[in-house]
Amino acid sequence: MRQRKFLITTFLCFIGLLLFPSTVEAYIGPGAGIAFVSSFFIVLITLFLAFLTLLTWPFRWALQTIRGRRALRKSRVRRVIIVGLDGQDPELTDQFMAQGLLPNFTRLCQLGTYSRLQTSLPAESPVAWSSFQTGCNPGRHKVFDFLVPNRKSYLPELCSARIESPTRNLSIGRYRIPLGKPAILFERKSRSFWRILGDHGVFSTILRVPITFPPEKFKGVLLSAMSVPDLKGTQGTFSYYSSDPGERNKFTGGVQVPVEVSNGVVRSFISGPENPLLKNAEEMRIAFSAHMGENGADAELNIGKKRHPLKLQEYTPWVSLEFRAGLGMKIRGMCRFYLKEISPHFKLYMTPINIDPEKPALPISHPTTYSMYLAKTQGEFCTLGLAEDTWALNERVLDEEAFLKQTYLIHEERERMLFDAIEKTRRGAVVCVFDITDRLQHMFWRYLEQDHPANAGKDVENHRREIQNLYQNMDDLVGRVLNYVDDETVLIVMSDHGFKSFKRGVNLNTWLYQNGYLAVKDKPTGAEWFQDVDWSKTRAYAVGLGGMYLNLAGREAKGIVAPGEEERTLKQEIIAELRKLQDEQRETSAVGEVYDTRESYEGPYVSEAPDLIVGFNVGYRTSWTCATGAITEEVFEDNVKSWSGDHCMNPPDVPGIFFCNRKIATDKVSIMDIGPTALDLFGVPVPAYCDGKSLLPS
Amino acid sequence: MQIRRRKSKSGLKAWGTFPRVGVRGGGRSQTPTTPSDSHPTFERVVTTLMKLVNWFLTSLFGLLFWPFQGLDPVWALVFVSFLCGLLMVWVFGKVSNQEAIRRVKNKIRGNLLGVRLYQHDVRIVLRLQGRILRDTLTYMNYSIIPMLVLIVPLLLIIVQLNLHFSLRPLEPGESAVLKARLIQTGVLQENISLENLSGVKVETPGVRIDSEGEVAWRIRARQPGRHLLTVKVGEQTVEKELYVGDGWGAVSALRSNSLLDLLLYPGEAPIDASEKVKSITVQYRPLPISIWGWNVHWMVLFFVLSILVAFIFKGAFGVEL
Repeated sequence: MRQRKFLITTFLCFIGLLLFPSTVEAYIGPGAGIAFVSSFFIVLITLFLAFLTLLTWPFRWALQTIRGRRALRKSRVRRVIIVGLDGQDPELTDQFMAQGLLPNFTRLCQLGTYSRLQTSLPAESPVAWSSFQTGCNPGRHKVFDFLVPNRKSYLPELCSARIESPTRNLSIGRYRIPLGKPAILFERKSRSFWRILGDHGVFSTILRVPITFPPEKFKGVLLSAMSVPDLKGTQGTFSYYSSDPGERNKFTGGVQVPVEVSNGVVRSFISGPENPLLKNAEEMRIAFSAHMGENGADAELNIGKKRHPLKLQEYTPWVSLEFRAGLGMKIRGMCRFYLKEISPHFKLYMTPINIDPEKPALPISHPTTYSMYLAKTQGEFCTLGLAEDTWALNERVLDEEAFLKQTYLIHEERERMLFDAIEKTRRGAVVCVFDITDRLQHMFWRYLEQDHPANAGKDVENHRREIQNLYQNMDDLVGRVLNYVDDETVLIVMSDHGFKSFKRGVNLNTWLYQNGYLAVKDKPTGAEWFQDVDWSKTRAYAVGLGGMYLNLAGREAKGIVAPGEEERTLKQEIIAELRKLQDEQRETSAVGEVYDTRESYEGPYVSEAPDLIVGFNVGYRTSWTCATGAITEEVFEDNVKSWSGDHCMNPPDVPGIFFCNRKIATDKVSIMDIGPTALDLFGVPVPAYCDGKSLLPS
Repeated sequence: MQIRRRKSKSGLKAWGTFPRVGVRGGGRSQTPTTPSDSHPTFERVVTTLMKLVNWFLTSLFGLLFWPFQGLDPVWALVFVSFLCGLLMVWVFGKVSNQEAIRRVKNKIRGNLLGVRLYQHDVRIVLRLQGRILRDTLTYMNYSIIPMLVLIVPLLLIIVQLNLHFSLRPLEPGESAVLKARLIQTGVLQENISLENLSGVKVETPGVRIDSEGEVAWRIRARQPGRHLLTVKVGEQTVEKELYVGDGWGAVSALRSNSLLDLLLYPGEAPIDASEKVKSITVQYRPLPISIWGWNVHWMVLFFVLSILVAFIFKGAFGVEL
């Protein structure tokens, strides 16, 4: 009230000054001048743009009409909204719907359709979402797994994107100045349905659909997701500052920086990317200090001239970081901090350094200004592909509560983007994928099963209802989206796959070794990245989360298996043996099916696919050690990590969900059908190469 | 333009840029440091305070411009604009809600990008433009407080700049009109004359405009320097400084008994309220200030330069404008 009175008084004073001007009061300096100049230019630009918009609109409308006349004439809808809930499981959905916990999903089901959705082979997000966007099987879009082997080095590589440094550089002293930008190669092939829609004049807003990095050009806006690296170029590396000498200092997915508390102050540094301008590349760093109990906060973080209060067990807002490479070049990123503990030890977690969406170091959106627009209108947001730091929880750097907070902060950012997109895309397609459903089920599945090996030594009570809460939150989201749905809007809510328990890990490379298909130099030591392997005697190896490769002559650098008959015979032999794989400790079969990709896939890239894909039974998945190329003593191991649920199993066991507010023509829905359906809804012909088909009644 | 510091015939210090205010050029007694007893106490206090402030600021600006005496006044103006730009950006940063300004400006910029992104949809574009205008008003609202704070020092600074850069002294041989306005209007009964004419020549007898209570003389400057002319009304005398020379500096065109004029024309002490003369004006000519051959008003140049400096250095000060 007092503040209001003060404002009114100052306003009246201001008016008074304006009413009684004299010569020298005409200009009152930068104070008013700055506001005047800024506002004047903003208003001027706004009016100019408004004028330009109105002036050119008839021409653009005519052009758009001519270009997209055929498509728009045949369009059955004004807008299609697709909400992707990564990993939402149909069995749990059924269960919660039966309990009356998901009223909006039930309503959507009553309005139109609810069915299981056939996922991709393998049932992994990059593969499934690539099939979603292209309407094709992996043999056509070339995304086969999270990781695929480099056929020369046998080392795993990211399947969907590759970043290559500029080849031409200018050498000046200690500097090597790149002449050109780094090339970011998009490895996913075929065409996304939004690109085809764009060719027919239909605008789309695509938010955080996996495998959209680097962003492709089309008529619409897109924010990239999975595969977007952090500023260090990794898929997410957290930092953990701890003064506890008893804590280990080697983590997967992160680094620990030991610190000391001296007179209530901790001094350390933020580890940044390598300096791209130096010949002898060295890490760029930003010094910081943390002061305990400063200015009423639990601690205060001083980075450069800026001070950031730290509250115990709370995340800071996004903190901007600026790494100076020299020659005036700055690389900008941002991160959040989480003060885990002050006493007896100082423990501070820092998220991976995200690319700053306002000044992106790499292209993360199309057009580039889209990420800037989102950041400026809605605030900074997480840009890392795998945004939620599951490794920090796996390594117990974060606890469940901290991980939940982080995940929901990211989810809120995503929700804001979705509703802005719905508001702005009055005609066209809106696609938004939420990862929270996948990440929370990965990390909290153990709470659903008392006997899960991951429960050993961990809390099993506090978050027992977390997955149920998650589904209810998604129901609430669907309810809010339904408010925007009218007769001319089609709403599809879908997941790329379901979820099941991951209790036991299977080391396929150990199995191959024990069965004579993989040879080691001496004896297995458990060393990572195939260091033990003797490639000259190896016939098969496994990379990724279920892919198995023959060491084929002419394809692999040290291949010994002859293409043709020997290849076919070996494959059949491995398939037959793997089907018999028994987990003797649990007395169950570990493998449900083994797929020969030459039979399961079609398309120009089949030859680059894994030769075999192992479809594990529920409860089994490729082990953590297998994923890192280690040969261990045992084929089977208990999964004791918090990452206790998974979907990298036999695809028929982990279908996704499909909800639509319209009736569809079939009861068998594949993830490859969504893209063609969207095309059909806008009256755009479905390309002949698509494996999926429209779900609409003809 | 060159400043010439010469000894005038009257023995006064040569005209320059140093202050000469407050304790000199009073009414009947030459040193009326305090207003007469007829003033209410409050007004007397304010007047004394303002005289002190004027004396301090005029001294300060005199000192500030002293190194530029031999140069074109534009250099002094550039220098003071630079200082003001820095000062103001610093003050603006201290007294404004930086976080709120940053937020609202981000929204404005974001929505401007949105206009480009959604240009295919007129309705969305117009909606975004509406938001931009709304946010602009919010931004201006956030600027009110710093603007009010800045008004005080800026007003004082601009008054000083006005004193130095708006008018030039009379050149020897140049004529001007000197007007004395009396408190009393109607038929002027008193004997009114202009005296103490060393350095100037009165070309016309006093022309009386009874209805305005005004008497005007045409005078012609003869010798460079700062001369004190005396307007005699009956038995009372009031002095007015007259500047003759071909340089630039503090040129006070008006001396009056008004408090507002004391604020706006700080070059001379106010006329005592008990005097019959209300004000004395000398009609000097404007000081020409040119940049690359273009004549510009000093205020325009100050406006542009100070804003420019503020925008250039906002990053260095970490201030969002």
